[in-house]
Amino acid sequence: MDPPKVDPIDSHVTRRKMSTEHCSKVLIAMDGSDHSNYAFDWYMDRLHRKGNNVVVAHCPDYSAIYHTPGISGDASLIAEILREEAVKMEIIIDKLRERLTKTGVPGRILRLTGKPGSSLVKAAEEEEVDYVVTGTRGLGKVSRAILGSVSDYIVHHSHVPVFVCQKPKEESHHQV
Amino acid sequence: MATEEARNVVIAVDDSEFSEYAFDFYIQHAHRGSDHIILVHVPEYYHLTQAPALLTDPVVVAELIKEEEVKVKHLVEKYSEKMKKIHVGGKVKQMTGKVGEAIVEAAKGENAAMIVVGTRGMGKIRRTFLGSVSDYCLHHSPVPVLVCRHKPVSEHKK
Repeated sequence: MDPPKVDPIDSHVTRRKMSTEHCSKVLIAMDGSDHSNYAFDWYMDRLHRKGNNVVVAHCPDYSAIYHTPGISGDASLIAEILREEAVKMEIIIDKLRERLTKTGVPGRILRLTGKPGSSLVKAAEEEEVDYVVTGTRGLGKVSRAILGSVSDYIVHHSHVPVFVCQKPKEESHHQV
Repeated sequence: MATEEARNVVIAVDDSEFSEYAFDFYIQHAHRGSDHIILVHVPEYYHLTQAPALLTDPVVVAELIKEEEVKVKHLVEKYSEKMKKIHVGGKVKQMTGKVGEAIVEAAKGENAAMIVVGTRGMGKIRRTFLGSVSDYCLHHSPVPVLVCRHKPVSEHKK
C-alpha cells in the first residue's frame, strides 16, 4: 500500500481535478454498526480513488431515549442515560478513527448532532461532497424495514447521488 | 485490498436524461478501467401490460412498438458512442417484464458488483417520489446500488 499522504486536513480542501479520473469528495455515513462498517470497507475496496477526499460523518440518534415511556418525568435519569450514550459514542468515534487511519487515506471524522437523517444530508451539502455512501441499516432497533430510516431519508433527500450498500446476508447472524 | 479485477456494473438506462446523468456520474466518480459495463434497458411497451386499456387498439399498439424500437436503436447508438469515447467496454442488454425486477435479475445473472440507477425515467406513470425502479432496486438488490439523484430541479426544492 502507498504510504499515507500527509495532506493538511482542512475544512476548505479544494478538489484537484485530474486529467483522466475525477477526484471525488465523499461522505460516508457511519454509526459504528456492522452495516456501516461494511459500507465503509466496500467504499475503500471498490470505489476509493487516490486523491479522493473522505469525510466520515457520525450522528448519534438520541430520539429513542426520549420516546421511552415514563422517561420524561425524570431529569436525572435522562442525564444519566445521555452520559452513558456519550461514553458509547466516544468509543464508536475512536473505532471509526481507527478504521480510517488504518486505510492510510487522508480524511476526517465529522461529528454531527440533531436528527441523523437530516443532519447527514445537510452535512453532505455543506461539505459539497460528490456523493454519499451509506449502509442499509444501522444500530437502530427497528429491524423490520429493509432500508433503515436514516438510509431511507438520505436516499430520498440527498442532493447528490447515494451509494446504498447492503451487507450480504450470510455475514450477519442476528439483527440488532 | 483494492485489486483491479474486472467487475461487471449494471447501469439501468432508458432514453431519459436521468439515465444519462447516472451513466456520466458513474464514469466520472466510480468507474475503474477494468470495469465491464452492462447497460440494461427495458423497452417501454412492456410497461403497457400494466395498462390494459391501451392494448385494445391494435393500431395504437403497433405504433407504440415501432416507436419503441426506434428509441432502443437510438439509445444503443447514444451509449455506444459514449462508451467508445471513453474507451470503455460494455454491452446493452434488453430485458422484458417489470423494469425493477428485470434490472435486479440482470445484476444477479451477470454477477454485477453494483447497480446504477437514476431516480426518474421516461415512464409515463409517475408512481413514487423516488421512482419505482430505483425504489425496487434499493429493496431487492443483492449488491450495492448507486442512486443518482439528478441535479435539483424544482421538485427537489425544500
